[in-house]
Amino acid sequence: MENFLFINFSFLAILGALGLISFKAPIHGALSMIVSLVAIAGLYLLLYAKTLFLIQIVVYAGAIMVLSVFVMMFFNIKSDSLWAKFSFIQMLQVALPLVVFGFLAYWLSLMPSSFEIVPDGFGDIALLGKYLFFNWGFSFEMISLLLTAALVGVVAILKGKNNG
Amino acid sequence: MVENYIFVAILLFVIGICGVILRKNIFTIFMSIELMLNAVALLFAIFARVNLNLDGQVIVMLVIAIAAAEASFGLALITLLHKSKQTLNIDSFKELKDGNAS
Repeated sequence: MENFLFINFSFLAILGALGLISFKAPIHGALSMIVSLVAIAGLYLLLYAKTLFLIQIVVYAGAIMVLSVFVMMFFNIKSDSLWAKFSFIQMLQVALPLVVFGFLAYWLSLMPSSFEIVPDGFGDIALLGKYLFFNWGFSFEMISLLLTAALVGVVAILKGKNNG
Repeated sequence: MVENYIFVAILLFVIGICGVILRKNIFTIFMSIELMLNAVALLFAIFARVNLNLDGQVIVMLVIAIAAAEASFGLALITLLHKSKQTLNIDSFKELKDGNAS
């Protein structure tokens, strides 16, 4: 059953990612990426990361992608194909990550592969919250500072100089 | 089973790289970067599961928060650039590369 779910979720994730880079209109790419994000949330659930499943659905697929789709609808995007010209340099740039991917896939096939049994409550909200509070408190506060800085920056660049 | 999960994460990352290189639409490039962030977050969740340690899952939460900040700022920047150039082609946005922005 776990294998069946894993194959389905990973197939949907990869299919959504391929749709993102191959659809012509970016709005179709965004919708296809939402499929990919939800499938990745399913993979989180298979990895016993229940809290991350919730956060991925609510924050990523729910908030970030909806914001992206909303901003895309502001523009009258012409449906001209904005692909790169296939020059030699471009093909070289694509070939390099593919080669690295091939090496990594080969090394992965040599890895021992088995998951251990999870302890009770691994990935639950209560346990993860306590762990976050006691071990990663400073990073958490820095993230809140970063979000505040991003908010101020957005207001500054969109409202500050352009209306004057 | 572990290597299958890692294989999916690496494949998503490589697809994100190809999207950044091959596409000229600034929205698609933006979403490809988000896809790469997602692949790395999935990798952290896999290693948290392998080592039975919650550090990886906490890092995934931090990565998602950074992605939220990046999305808000990036979309605002795209809106601003589109307002000044009336296009979404990445080749039109070379001020930072050329160094003669007005």
